[in-house]
Amino acid sequence: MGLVLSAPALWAQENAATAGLANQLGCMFCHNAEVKLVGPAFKAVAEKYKDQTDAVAVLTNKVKNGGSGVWGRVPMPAHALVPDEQVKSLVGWVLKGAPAK
Amino acid sequence: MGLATSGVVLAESALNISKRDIGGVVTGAKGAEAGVWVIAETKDLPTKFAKIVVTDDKGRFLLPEMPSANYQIWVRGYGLVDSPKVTAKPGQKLDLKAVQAPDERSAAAYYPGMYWYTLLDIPPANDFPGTGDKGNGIPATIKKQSYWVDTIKNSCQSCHALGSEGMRNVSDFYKKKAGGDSFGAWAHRTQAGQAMAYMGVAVGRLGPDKGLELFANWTDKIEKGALPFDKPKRPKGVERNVVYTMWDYSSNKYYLHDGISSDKRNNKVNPNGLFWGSPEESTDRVPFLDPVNHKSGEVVMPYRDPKLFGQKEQPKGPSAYWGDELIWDGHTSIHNNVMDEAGRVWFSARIRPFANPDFCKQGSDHPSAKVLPIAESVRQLSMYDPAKKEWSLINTCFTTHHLYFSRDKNNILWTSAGGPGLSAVGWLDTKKYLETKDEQKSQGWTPIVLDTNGNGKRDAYTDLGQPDDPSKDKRVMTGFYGVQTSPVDNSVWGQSMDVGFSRVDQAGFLIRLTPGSDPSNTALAEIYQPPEGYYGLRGLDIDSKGVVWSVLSSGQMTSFDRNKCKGPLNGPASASGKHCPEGWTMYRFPGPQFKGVNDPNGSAEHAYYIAVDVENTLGLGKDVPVALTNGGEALLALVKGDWVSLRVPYPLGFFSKNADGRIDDPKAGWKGKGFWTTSGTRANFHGEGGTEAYPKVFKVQVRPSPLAN
Repeated sequence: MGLVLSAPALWAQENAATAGLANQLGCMFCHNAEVKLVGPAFKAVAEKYKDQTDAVAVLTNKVKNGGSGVWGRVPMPAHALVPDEQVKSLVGWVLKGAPAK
Repeated sequence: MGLATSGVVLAESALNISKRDIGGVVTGAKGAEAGVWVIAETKDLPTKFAKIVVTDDKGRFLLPEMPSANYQIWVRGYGLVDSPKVTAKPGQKLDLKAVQAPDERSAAAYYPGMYWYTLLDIPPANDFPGTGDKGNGIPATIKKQSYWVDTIKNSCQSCHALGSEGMRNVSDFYKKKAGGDSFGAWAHRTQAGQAMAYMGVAVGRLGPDKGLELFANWTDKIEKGALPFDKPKRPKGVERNVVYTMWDYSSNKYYLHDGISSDKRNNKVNPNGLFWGSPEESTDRVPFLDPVNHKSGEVVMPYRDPKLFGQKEQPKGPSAYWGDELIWDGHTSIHNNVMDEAGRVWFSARIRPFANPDFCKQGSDHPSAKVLPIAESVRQLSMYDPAKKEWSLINTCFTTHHLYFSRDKNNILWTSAGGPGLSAVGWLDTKKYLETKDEQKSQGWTPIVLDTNGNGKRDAYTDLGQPDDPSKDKRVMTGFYGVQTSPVDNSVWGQSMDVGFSRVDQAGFLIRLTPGSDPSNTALAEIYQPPEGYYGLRGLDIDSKGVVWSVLSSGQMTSFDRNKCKGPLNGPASASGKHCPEGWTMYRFPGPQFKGVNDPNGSAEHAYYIAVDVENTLGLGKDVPVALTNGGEALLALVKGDWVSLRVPYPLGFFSKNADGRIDDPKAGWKGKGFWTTSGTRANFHGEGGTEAYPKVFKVQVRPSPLAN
């Protein structure tokens, strides 16, 4: 039998796993939670899209197909080969402000 | 004149063409062409082969020791464009006609990359520190102009032959993607291929808006007709005595980081044997070259954990050269290789994912883990025994980057970590390992601790981030990039990278480590920082007298002689590394400086590493330091205080990351030895030959005269 974790503990596990996924997929070479690198800070993305109802769909499309013109002159490259489930996790995590845990 | 028979001696000269040579005279519009290159290439041998020599003051040349084949031969030189290729065989005499360049632009196409990349604007000194993306676009972390230059040289130029044709011109592929906008084209090209993530880091470091804008302005300027403001000079003096021999190996889709021909401690090891490459991220297929039979081949390095991530899983973007094809298939990140006394080849390489096994971590009873537990390592070790055709994979707790053997009875293999993150130095007792195959007991590591309390021994120390305590020693945040042991006292020397590579706001150092009797607990370090105005140490080697040699991104070769230090080498004053400016000697690299950099003591030249030719394998003397200068596309040797620039003129875009010497036959003079290196740029296809260009092995020899055979 396994331990029963509280909801915050489960979220922390999930957040840490998604942060690890972002590292593994190379997102963090160009992005940071707090500050702009090549691309915008994930917290700035979360702030910009916080009231947008179709935010998940919009950002999923940007990750999969790339985009430009929202955050400056450097385009977001397409990541067409990243599986949909992983993109969904990443987008959800970014919209939470990319918590480490 | 014009005898075409073999074995002839021309009456009017000392041009003695044997049956194995091709020789003759190069003339141009004004008579003899002195100091131009004659290039001979053939596809008749099992692998593509070429040899290059330089004409003497009368325009004469002699290509010595040519394997039997039909060669395409042509003339290349400053002020010229390539002459039409003619066919010849060994034993033949050839008179070649040089072709004058019709204009400056045609002539400049053959200049080393440095002459082109000095057209790149460097932000003026008063733009620093940067004011961020809402200010001048330069990040606040780039505090000085030197940080910017160091980032260009030790991030961008770490991988790219910066001024080569493929770099100074932007493909229409990227321009089209960006709707004709140059900035956008540079954004797309820095997202191309499987190196997208690495390039993202460098672009982010410069500030994408400012960095890409300046690169876009650079290539726009060149497209509109801008030409280099300085011109290279033709080879002169001993530079005309050189013979370059080169072979293709590996694949046009892969790249090499390093290569090795012999044992650094004894250049007579592996005479006439195989040359081994290390293909870093590009593949697990380790290429070798048989220079006697002109054959290449490969062995595939295995890895322990099938879950090891590979280059095909890296983020990637479409390439102007390869489209969506994933040309890199590596997992093992085989960065650097050295050879031991038995001809075994040792590699810094990845054998499993980053998480370390338990014996490395907190709670382990491993002697080194008790001192400094380590949770992750990015790269470990492997060894290939060509005689047995066997691989060994060695699971180290510490990250490896470069590696060299000491001269002690246990053949300790000392390693560097690359960046400062680990702040430790790791080693493998290879004698113990080969006897027992016990990887745990054969390895060790130590934190880098300075003797700041000045009592001459390692004792309690303040750890990273803790305030100094005058009663204790001090652990410092630094790490070896280059590594080498001293032939004089077997001390271990490392070199740490400056801010442009390390991304830590700290100068680069030379680091001297004395291991002591129980290195995890007894090793003590000293750090030495170059004097004010000099920055960007990269790589090191040590001559037979124990003098340490390195290169600087401020544009110099440098030596450091610890014996010249006048003050104490330990104690609190030693913690800054600034306590021995008198130990350093600087030698400005030749060539132009960036126009925006007001530093006449420096040069725009960039060298990736340095090798000291202790045994005179190159032919310029014993203990000659040779910088791998990728701006000048040359091996740049310092001989008795004077520069000897051995520019490799073909294929254009020569870029090397290290070199070593080998003596095949000690009785055969210059013919029995040579200096070996390999192509080192990650984007071979940016140079001459484009996507058809394969990585090459280069053997460089200096003869007694330009016509020696």
